[in-house]
Amino acid sequence: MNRRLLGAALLVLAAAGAVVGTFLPLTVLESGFGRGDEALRITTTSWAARLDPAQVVDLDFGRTPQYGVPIVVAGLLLAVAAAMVFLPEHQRGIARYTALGATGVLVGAVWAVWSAVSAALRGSNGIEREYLRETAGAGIWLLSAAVLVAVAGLVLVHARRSTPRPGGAVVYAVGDADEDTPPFGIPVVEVARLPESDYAGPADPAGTGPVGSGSAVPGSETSGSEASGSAGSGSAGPGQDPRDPERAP
Amino acid sequence: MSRLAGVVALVVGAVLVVFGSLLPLYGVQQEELFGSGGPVSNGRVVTVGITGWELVREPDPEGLGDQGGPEPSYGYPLVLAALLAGAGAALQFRAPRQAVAGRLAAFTGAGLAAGVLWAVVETWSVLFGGPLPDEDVRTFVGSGGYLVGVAAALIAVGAVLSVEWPARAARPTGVAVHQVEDDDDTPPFGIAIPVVELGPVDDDRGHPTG
Repeated sequence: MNRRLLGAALLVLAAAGAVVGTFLPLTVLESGFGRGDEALRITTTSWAARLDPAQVVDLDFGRTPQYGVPIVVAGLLLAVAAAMVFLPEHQRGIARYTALGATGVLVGAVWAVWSAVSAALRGSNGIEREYLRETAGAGIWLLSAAVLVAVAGLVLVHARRSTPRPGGAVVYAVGDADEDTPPFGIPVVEVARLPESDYAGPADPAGTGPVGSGSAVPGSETSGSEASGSAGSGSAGPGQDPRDPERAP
Repeated sequence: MSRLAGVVALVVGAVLVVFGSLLPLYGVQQEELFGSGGPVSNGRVVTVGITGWELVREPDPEGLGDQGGPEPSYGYPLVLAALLAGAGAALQFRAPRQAVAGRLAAFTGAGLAAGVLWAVVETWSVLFGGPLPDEDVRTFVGSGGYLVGVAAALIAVGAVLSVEWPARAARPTGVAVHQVEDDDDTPPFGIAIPVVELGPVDDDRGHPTG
């Protein structure tokens, strides 16, 4: 799977997790009176606080810190950044910067929520601890997980594009000092071949055939004995083209 | 020029974030009252505020200041935001790849500072919007709150200014040619070796004699 696509998917997942996490309990304050479902619980989320069971007493907790506002905004920005990953390459930079800023806002807001939650957990001490027990809820854990997923998605969104594989021949340098040889080797130089000619050459006065026929190549195994004593032996005869590479020495 | 302005904004923002975290972000004030026949003000105002690190009281003759109470400490993420902004500023005039890493750090720092400040504002808005225990209790946004707000804005502006738009021209990637002393004779890419590419001979000329 494309790493950028995976990164965008993780950003969307982090955004969804962060938004859902704002509706889950950050802290649960439970009284020591009663057992199980009978115990009074005050559950605080990123939006409000509620008392369970509600029919026991109607308490107005007033307004609680709306930590959900920056978290939801960060989630929206993460989703926008994930969508912008699919823009053309030259416009994709804004997706990366948006993802960075959104992740920063999410980390900062969740860190502040963590700080407030840990302060609340430290707050119940002494005699309160005997009758009240305050624990961290699932919301803070889901928010923390969303932060980690967002960071992972952020890293993947910044992944480099895979370099295209070379289509031609693969050339490896042999050793470190081989700088003389060009990458594709030294081209072999061939001498131009002249066209074959139908010219039979001058007639042999002795009637033994043409002097300097095509097979009479000086130095060859066959021509040495056959051409010996003939008029053209040892040198190019009148019918021999000196430019012919096959006949050249 | 914009990059220089961005670096200055990042540095100033980083310093202000750290400095602001040491000052009260928000708090309450109340006139000190005494007397058995009724509350009488002695003219002194007691201030209780929350900094990024602790609860502070002024005046604090009894040394009640920070008693290790359950105050949230926002200072750690603020300092991390300042470090990211400072790193982003320091990397701007390095190699292009490091400058890119610096911009990423600056954007992350800007978002981090904004996220923390936003959560703090949500906290104090509850305090400011709710009923207070006494009529003469006044709430206030501390100098630390203003400083962190200005610093977060500066870091965000600095991060945006540090982005090169349009992008810096890429360096040439071809062969680098250096002149060796006074060598004017050799062409920049050396002397070409004549290589004849041979193709099929297409010569329909007849022989001159035939």
